[in-house]
Amino acid sequence: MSAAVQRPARWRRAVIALLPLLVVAVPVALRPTLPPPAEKAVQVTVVSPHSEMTRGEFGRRFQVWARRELHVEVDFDWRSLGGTGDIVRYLDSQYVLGFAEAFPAHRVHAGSIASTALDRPEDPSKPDAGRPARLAARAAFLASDVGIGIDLFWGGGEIPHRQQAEKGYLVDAGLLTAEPTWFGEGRAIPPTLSGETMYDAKGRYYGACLSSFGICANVDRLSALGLLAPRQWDDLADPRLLGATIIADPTRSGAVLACLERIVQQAMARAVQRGVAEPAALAAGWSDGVNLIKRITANAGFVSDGASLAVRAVAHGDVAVGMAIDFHGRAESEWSRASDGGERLSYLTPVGGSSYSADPIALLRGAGRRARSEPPETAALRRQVAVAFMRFVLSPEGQRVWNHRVGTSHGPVRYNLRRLPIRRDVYSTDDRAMMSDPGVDPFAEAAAFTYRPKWTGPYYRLLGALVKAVALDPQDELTAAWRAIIAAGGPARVPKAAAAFAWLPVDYASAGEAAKTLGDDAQRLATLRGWTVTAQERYRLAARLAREGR
Amino acid sequence: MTGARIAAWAGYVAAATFLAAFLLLPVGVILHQGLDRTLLYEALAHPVYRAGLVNSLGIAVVVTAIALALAVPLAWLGARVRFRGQAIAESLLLAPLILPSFVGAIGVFQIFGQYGVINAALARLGLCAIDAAPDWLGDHRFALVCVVEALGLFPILYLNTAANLARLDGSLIEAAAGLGAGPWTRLRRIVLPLITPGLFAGGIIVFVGAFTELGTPLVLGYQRALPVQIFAGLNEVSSNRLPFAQVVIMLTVATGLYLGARLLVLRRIDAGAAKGGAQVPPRRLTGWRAALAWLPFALVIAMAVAPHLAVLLTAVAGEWYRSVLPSGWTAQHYRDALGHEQVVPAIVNSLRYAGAASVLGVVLGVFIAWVGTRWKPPGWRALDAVAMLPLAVPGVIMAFGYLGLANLPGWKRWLDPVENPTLILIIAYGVRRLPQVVRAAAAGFAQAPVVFEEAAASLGAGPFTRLRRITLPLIAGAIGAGAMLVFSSSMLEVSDSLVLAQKREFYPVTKVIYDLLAILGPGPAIACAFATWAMVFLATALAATAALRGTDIPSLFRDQK
Repeated sequence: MSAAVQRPARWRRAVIALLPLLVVAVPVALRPTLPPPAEKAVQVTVVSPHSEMTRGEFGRRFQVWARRELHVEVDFDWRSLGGTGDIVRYLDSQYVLGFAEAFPAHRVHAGSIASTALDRPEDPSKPDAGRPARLAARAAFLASDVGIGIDLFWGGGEIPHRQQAEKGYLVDAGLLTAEPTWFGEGRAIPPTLSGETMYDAKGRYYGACLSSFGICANVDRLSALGLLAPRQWDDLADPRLLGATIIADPTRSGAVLACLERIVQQAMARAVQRGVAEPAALAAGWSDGVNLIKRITANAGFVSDGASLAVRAVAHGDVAVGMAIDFHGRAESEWSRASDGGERLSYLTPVGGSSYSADPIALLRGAGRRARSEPPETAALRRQVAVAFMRFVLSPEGQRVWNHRVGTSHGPVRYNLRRLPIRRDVYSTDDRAMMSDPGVDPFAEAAAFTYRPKWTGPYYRLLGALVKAVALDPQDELTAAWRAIIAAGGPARVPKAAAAFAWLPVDYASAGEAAKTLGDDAQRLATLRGWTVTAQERYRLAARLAREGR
Repeated sequence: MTGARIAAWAGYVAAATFLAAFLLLPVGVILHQGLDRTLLYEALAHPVYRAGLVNSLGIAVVVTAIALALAVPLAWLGARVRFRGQAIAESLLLAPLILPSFVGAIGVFQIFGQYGVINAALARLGLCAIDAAPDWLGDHRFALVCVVEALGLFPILYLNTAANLARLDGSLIEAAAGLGAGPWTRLRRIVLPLITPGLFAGGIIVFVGAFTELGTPLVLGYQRALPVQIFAGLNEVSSNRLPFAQVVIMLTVATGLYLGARLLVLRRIDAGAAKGGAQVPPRRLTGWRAALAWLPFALVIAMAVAPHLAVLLTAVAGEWYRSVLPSGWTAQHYRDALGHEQVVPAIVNSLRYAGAASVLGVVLGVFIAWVGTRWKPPGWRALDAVAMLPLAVPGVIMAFGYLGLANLPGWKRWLDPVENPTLILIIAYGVRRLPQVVRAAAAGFAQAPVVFEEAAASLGAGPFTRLRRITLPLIAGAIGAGAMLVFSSSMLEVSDSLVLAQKREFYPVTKVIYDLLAILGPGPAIACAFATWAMVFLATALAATAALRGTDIPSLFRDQK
């Protein structure tokens, strides 16, 4: 050791050496006193992308409910695997492993157990010798009780739930027959709302709350830009917002892709309203909608992977405007209120541009099962309690946890969740007095928009891939072209540049054909690359034309 | 064969088997999916992904240049002079080592945002209106990514350089001075060639680290960088195999660069240049000279600890918007964070994981370095190269590799992270920092004179006695640095923690911070509060280790006792 470093006095060294213990002691002292876990508690395992807030609030409420109603102690094992995509990948791998273990005879074809393609009749033009064996594996899986040690799948959106149900991972929890007064037209939970499915007709998943997409805006940034708060998606493409918006990547979030799909549907609906005949209206709407998404992307200074990051960037004023999931927008708006009560972040749902979709809860195949050595009645009890939790979440008591305020008799204990219940009957006047968002009425707002699965449903994946290939991947060139067009006085002043900018590789008529090419990995990658390369060329051309004033 | 030789071979086989099982196999699981001609062609033919590769190399070049420019002069100054408060200054330089990366991002946004600290200060000084102030995050993204990464990575280079300067043979410098060489000539002709192994060891780690760094470009929204593109592809809702091919490309480029640089630089290193007896006594500075010496330290420290300060203040800020400093204060976020029921178990978990990972990392790393510098049995180059692999693979890829590994038939029973991720997390954490430990130890071995060991051998000391009595004490600084590096980076590791810890009872600190971040509204502030606790804990742990060894924090990393 160098001579210049002086040895501290012994007592000082002792004090310094004790410091880390002192630092650890602080959280130990502040540790909340929790009741010891009950012996013989029934453990329910839930995989969910919901945040710790939601899990904690519902978990605590249900424990009290189960003690009172079922006379059992419940212990939750929450599995946090990341986003919905991660959960789906996990389910895929675990069911294959579980099946291979349980059915050694079908082990070779375990990879086919979730193949929904097998549910369709065989294509006679492509004879497939291996099909019967794969069909047998899938049939064995669908008839089985193969489990992965997890009982419930909660949250993540309706489309992922529908897909897992079709694969066979979700099973009927029996609530449609057990609670016939809850479900159905005119009842607490309607089968559809603004065209969106609220629960599976076969009882494999049930919407637990509602979510929608909207626009959040930073009031100070907008006033500096001299703009009013955006009310429609089109406002996000305002040239004055260049570089001042944030968007989320639709290939990384099902919720964001669903939002973009609704932007396209809104453009289609507008074309229909203009009196254009439907086939032509849909074609025009497709092109208008995708091009609007392109302009919104060109304006974006940031691409975020998570929807919550976007809201925070707007709240801090890093950007002026962004797309947001409703409850993120509302919660951040309340939180970011200035100390004098002034609003900094506004949130609104674009009327006619967004639907309310269900965020479901579902029972997984093999729910309740753990080790093989376990007596069957233990598994049955666990499954029963898991179903009871689903029922609790869908009951009026559970539904109130979503939006009642902290401290109210039915509300959460620690955090306002700001999500919207799916049951119509918990929006009563009495309920509204206790809700965080008493002014929001999803059932009335939903009337302004009707989601039509036929229009864009088959092209859902195509839309995500298309937006990535022609807007997000070539975003630098896209933005440069848009900047040049704005500098030249706007699209109307430079029509040739605007035409080059508006290029799309796929029109509505060819969307079906294009969607087919995306099925195969190699073909898909080559197609998408081709789109991006051409898009870059077109945008460079558009920038040049705009600079030349053409 | 002697007993020591058998033991050495047994260790060699064990280390090789371990690396094969827990490094090659998980990487292989990933590569297996990416080694596909069509996929590789697509990844290389796509103009945007090619641009991503070029940009990432650009980032690596700039970051390494900035880190060298910051670290080398400071380390040189630190070695040549002594001034009041020097230990504090040098300790503060290491601050980036204790900042959890994704929380640091909150600090960076608070500083550089449109309504952040810098623009508020510009407005306060009357230089411009806050709404007309520069859009740092939007218009200067590449530069910002490079600066933030360089500030996070330069301490590694600083430590390496400082350790090497401390081991310099002073007699050579004195001889040069005696022959009339001026300070610049001495620096250029004597010092720099002598510290090249250390500079290379640190420089290549910074270069490859910056090339594969995901967090900073991701958080700052720099999309056209290869790691960000890979991460985005992996996170796609529908499965996409292209990112695996991109991983193959990234791995090939990183490995190629590493091996190329090693061949070019290390060939020229004079094997005889080793630590000598006499050290050049540093000059003691007082008065204005000491203040002048403080200045460069203070400047770099100000930049390096700015994100920490922003995190610290966010945790106690009632409101911090369009102002240089928060305009209201609260202790609520601390109460919410430290009073959270998951916090204490997470701390206990992290201490267990990080402690065991440090032992694993140091034992493995020092052994591999010893094999490569002293013993050189057949295959040592391969072992050394494999140990460097974690540098070239981003954390998130490794994490998915481990997940894949745990799902292999036969492995699931004892490695399943869902049942209990303790073992796999310890391995993942320990392996993650292996390159740094190996390089630090190798540099230590390279500069510890072989003559002492040869002398001991001639007096009848066996290889283990020589290792225990001569070699290990000589490189204690490198080992200490390695252990603390593994410990602190394990306490703050993100990728493996998020992917592999799935059950609440096994959550480490970072996963709890990540969970707190998701709380609507005050989430970031609560996360900052817990992150501040983690920073304070690591700082005190370093101080305590230093105090127990009777030294100061910087000396921990380069002490030659």
